Amino acid sequence: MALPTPPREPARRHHYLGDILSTIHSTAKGMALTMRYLWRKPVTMDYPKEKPVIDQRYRGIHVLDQQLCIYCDLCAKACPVDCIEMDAVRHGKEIEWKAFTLDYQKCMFCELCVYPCPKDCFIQGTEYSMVSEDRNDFVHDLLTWKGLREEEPS
Amino acid sequence: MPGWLLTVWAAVVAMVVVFTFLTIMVMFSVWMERKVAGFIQHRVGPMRAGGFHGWAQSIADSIKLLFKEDLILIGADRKLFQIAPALVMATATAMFVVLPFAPGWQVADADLGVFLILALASVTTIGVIMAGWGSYNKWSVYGAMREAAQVASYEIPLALSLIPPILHYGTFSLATATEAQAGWGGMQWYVFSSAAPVAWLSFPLFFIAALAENKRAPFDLPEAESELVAGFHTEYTGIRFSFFFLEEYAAMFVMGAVGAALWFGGWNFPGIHLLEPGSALLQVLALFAFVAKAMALVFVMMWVRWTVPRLRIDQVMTLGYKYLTPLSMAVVLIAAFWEFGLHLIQD
Amino acid sequence: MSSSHPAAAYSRAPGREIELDVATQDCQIHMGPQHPATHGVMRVLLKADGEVLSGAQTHLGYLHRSAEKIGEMVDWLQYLPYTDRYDYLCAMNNNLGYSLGVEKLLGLEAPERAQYLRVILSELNRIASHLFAVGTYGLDLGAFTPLFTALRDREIVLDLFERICGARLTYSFIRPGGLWNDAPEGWLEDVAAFLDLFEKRWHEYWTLVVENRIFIERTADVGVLSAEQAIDWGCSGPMLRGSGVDWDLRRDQPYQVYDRLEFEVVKGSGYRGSVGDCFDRTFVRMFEMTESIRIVRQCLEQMEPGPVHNPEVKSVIRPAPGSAYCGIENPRGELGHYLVSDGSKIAVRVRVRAPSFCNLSVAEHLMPGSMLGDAAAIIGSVDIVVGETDR
Repeated sequence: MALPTPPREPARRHHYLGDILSTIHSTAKGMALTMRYLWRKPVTMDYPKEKPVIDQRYRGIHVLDQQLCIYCDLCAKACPVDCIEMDAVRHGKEIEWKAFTLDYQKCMFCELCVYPCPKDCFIQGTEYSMVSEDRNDFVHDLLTWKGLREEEPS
Repeated sequence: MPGWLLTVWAAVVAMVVVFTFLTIMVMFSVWMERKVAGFIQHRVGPMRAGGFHGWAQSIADSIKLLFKEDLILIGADRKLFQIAPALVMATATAMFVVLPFAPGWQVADADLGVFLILALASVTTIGVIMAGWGSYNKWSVYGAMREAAQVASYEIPLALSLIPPILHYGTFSLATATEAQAGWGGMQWYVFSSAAPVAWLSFPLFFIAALAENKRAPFDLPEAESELVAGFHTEYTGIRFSFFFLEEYAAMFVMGAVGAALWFGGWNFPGIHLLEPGSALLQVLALFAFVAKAMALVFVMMWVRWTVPRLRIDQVMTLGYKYLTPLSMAVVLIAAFWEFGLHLIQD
Repeated sequence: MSSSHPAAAYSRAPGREIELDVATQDCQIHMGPQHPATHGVMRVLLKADGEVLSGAQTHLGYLHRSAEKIGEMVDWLQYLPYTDRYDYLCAMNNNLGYSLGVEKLLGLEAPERAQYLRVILSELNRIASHLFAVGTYGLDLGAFTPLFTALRDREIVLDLFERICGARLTYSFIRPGGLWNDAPEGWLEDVAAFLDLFEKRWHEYWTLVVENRIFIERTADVGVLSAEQAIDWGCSGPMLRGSGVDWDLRRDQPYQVYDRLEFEVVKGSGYRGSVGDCFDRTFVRMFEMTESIRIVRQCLEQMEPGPVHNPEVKSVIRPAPGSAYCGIENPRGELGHYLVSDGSKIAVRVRVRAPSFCNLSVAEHLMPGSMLGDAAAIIGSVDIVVGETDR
């Protein structure tokens, strides 16, 4: 089917009988289309039972690979709303982590914090669900371990 | 028992039966509307309440509406505001009294069946206008005025389009007209009878006029959602709102039932002549046939609603006065000629 | 009331005075901030004599979020997410307008593959935006189904955008210097598949909305905007082209690679009523969607592999002192960014010329004389997004 192009001539203005026939005709065509829709498969999914497949590039909740992070603060400086705060102490080449918080009440999921990272350790993952009844739950601490190094599992 | 007590008792029983039937029918219609709307719009409608395709959604919604706060604005006309939903509900319920559900199963075999329905449909309008005026809200007044104009425009086509079947069967009573359509193994409906062309001409006129009387799309201006928020019933909450809602679907069912009874054979189904008259099976199948035909017409009303946009009020009135009224007058003339004049030519 | 309006014969608007025994007052009604037909929070104060409107006044500001002031507080690159949010239905175009303005200040350009991808993304967003416009216009007029059909098709476009940048509505993907990322594997093939699918689905909108007799009755000869009036009031986009004016920034002031692409500028021709009525604007939007399909197909053919970001544009941008204006063709009209720099990493002034604001200003003058039902039809045909009108 060729691409539709705009018709050149204005349509004829109808008169009494033509009005009646064109109304019936266009309504019938519209109703035939909606009848076809009635029998087609719905395009929605039953949400809590079926969840959508999230693309890998989706901008969800942030994930920090703490081993690679060098505490350069570039992500926090890039954020337009200043929602990232990090606190650590350097001991030579090692870093003693105290906190790395991201306030999701301010975050606008724009991904500007992800691009400047020199070590590619900060990404936005595919998790999107964040529900709570307490405002403090929205300030996420992204650290997996605190202190100088990850404790060995005993 | 004294005679008058028997009458009162019969009336109470009839009221309870009709009201129960009406409530169940309306709940089913609301559920059907939401499912039909859903599937037409590529989605599924209610799915969770009650399990299978959300069949209990209407029940849940009714219970929820019962618990809502009942607000009356300070400047509103209290008496009008409170009486309007009751009036509307009462007339809608009263219309069920003359519908022929099955042979012998009718609340009152009035000789003026269809005429009573027309009269009551007009009284419903007064309730709507009271609702619109009584709410202290300019948008409601707009809804009420539009309703008044619209119903006045479509009274004549509605009444005139009912004349062809009345002429053919010679009676206003719906039960008598249904009984007369029992020939040919239960298939001698008006639309297949000797006056079939007149039937097919008058039915669309009746259907369009019925859509307009019921404030259904494309004539749903009085409650136009995208212009007037909710039109005449904007300020109503809780039970009062549910009365208007009930009335809309009840009136739809009544119009569908009148269409089914007069044009499509009412309770007659193919094979009705094989069953023993008076048997339980016949009664149940006849009831089922009647309700199915009425609901099929209600389905068509819903199908039209979800397809076409809304007309502006001056276009509604133009359609009523300039198109439907002359056409229905012409159809009445054709019907009269068909019934009484044809034999003059044949002789 | 314009004499071609269908109800002109019954109007009591100025020009047709009728003697009345009773002194009456025009009814003043609010199409208030919360209303199903105002496309966002906007108040329209209507004065009506029964059903015929005698005056209209729009009140804006309910969605003002100080976007322009924020531009004076954050870096040039940090402002990018804010550009998404003024016209949230065509965020790619907003990003493009801002990025082109910054690139003009810097005197740099994006690489060619980035320019082609930018055009593809802008045109896909134009299709999504026009689908939404036509769908919600049907909703304003009482046809509930076309909106869901439009959303179904728009969902495919949003899924494509999710695959390329991760977001469905506010992308922040087109940045000064190019793009953040290249398209993933298979994305371009899926765009071509969508275009083939949409070409067939377009006819459903034509049947269900535009060719429907009742829709024609509601929109033909309603809200007629003459060409002179459109130019005087600064209208742009489908408002302007619907009135028959032959002006499209993509052809007349080409930016990116539009000068290498062949497409037609669709104008309103009074197909079903007068030139410049509501029907013509919808007509223009419908056929702009087909033109967008053509444009994207040509881009897909002409595109070559290459870089998608100009490395000279850093993350911390410090343009030389000066100012630049860049106007692009948004689905709603001309989106202009006027950027003033003093050499630092924060702008001195970010001024946004929103097309919906200018288009809406004329709606007040189209409404008097038509009927109450037409108010919704006129506002719907202007296709405003209140986020853009208020910023």
